[in-house]
Amino acid sequence: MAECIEQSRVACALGGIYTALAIDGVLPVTHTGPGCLAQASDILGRVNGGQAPVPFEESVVPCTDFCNTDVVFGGGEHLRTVIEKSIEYYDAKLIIAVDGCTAEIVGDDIEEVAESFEGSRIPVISAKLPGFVGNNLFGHSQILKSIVNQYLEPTGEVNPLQVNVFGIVPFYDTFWQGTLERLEELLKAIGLEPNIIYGHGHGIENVKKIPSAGFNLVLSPWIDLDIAKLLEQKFKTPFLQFDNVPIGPTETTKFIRTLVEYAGLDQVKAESYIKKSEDRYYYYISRHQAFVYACKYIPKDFYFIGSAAAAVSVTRFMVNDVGSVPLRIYITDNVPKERQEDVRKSLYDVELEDKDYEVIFTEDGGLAADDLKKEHEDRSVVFGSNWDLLTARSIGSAFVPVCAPYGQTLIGSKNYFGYEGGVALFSDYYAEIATNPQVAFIG
Amino acid sequence: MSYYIAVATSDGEIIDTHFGHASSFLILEVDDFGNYEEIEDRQVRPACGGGECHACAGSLMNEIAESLKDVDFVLCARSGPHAEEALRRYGIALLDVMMPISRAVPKIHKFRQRYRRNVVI
Repeated sequence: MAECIEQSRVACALGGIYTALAIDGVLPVTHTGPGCLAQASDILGRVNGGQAPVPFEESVVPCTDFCNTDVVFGGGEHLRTVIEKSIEYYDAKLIIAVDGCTAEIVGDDIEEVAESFEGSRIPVISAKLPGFVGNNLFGHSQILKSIVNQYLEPTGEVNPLQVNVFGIVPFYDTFWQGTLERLEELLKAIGLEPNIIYGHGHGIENVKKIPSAGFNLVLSPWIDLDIAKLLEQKFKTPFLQFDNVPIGPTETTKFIRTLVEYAGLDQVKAESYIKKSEDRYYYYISRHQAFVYACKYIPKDFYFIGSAAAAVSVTRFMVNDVGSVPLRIYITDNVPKERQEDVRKSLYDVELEDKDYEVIFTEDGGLAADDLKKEHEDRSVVFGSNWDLLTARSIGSAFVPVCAPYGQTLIGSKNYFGYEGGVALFSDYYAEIATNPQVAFIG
Repeated sequence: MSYYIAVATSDGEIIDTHFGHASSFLILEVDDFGNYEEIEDRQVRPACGGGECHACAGSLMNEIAESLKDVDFVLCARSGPHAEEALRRYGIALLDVMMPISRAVPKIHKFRQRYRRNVVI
């Protein structure tokens, strides 16, 4: 691969520590160069809705500052000292020692260092996150694999209603926190007991409960399938894959019905919940009909540049519920070759007769931008990340951000999940079309 | 081709002296097989001599670096950024480590063999 890419929408493998930081009580200790920690904090945090796992995490997370001396003489002892001191000074429930490119090249054995802390006050596990092997999604997978293989113990009991939620990548999926909160509410409303490990009010106690689940739910077209298969192997937990985070009534209703059938839940209760939620969704949409009607020349199509998970969610909602048609979809998060066919199938699984849009897998965001500048429909909409704001402006399109890096704003608890998420995305979409001077003619 | 390592040591066995406190550096010549022998005890004016530091050490650092310009590596227990900068201008790598000399030299030799072609550290 002799090309270079521009407009990176992913961080290097070390970005996986954000998955660790999203679990309350977990402290990563990094065996990397002094600047490495800061590189992921922009794409996954600061320019991604102004998020951070803890304030100023680049200064809080312990690091061995791998430099010249460690390269020549090996950094194992140095790492041991930093972990010892972390155990002394930090109030954590689990420590994950991770290493980056340099340590992997010179061959430091962090597994051995981590294992030597057997029986200490805080358990220590290890994960290898060399940047030259993969991006932050690879890092995310490595962190979860380490937790499953080195930390989880069988609990000896199975709760058939407990469902662990996988597939959402903290921080990389910009709306992760709000989405997980709403998802937890929905799953409880239809009779399940969701077990979520990321974010506020969850944490290491929920991690320990993972082996007792009745089943695992993988809410993505390809991410965390490997973790689900690993859990099936280790703890015999079956898993259900639903290929996207549902946005809007069509997809969310399908999601609830799939779960009810799979887990044998109360159908009457679920159907009444569906009816109530759909009625509410259409009530909110119908209030805006006059405004939408007044937006003359509404764009009928859209482009998408971003992650596979966001692509499926947005495409399903836009086609099935809003009535817009995708022209080209660029997937920029390095989906492994063996999963690309599945992602393609998911993207073509929409209620549309002529599916003549292209799905292009490229990590080069600049390529997508150039493509659009060369050939594009007038007055369309671009869904993407902050990189695409300028692309959209230069081709005279409206722009709606939906994936990382989201932009310099404060994300709060904003999310596009479920019925409520459908209302939110519907509003944001038409608000953008109505106010963006390049596409709007109101009146 | 043999190369040279300068060591700040008080007893010739362990690297235990701060760069700024060293009044002499033990010069080792290392051959292609990693065998080394002491060839000289080179005298220098200590960079942090008599409690004075940065003001005087400015040109003194350069003087010390100049007098060590034939070596590839300098080993000491601790050093500061001024020392590193001065030595780097002569292409010398400064490494802080407290370790017996007999353990350190093989590690440096192994590193040099692997990365000799394209590394300046």
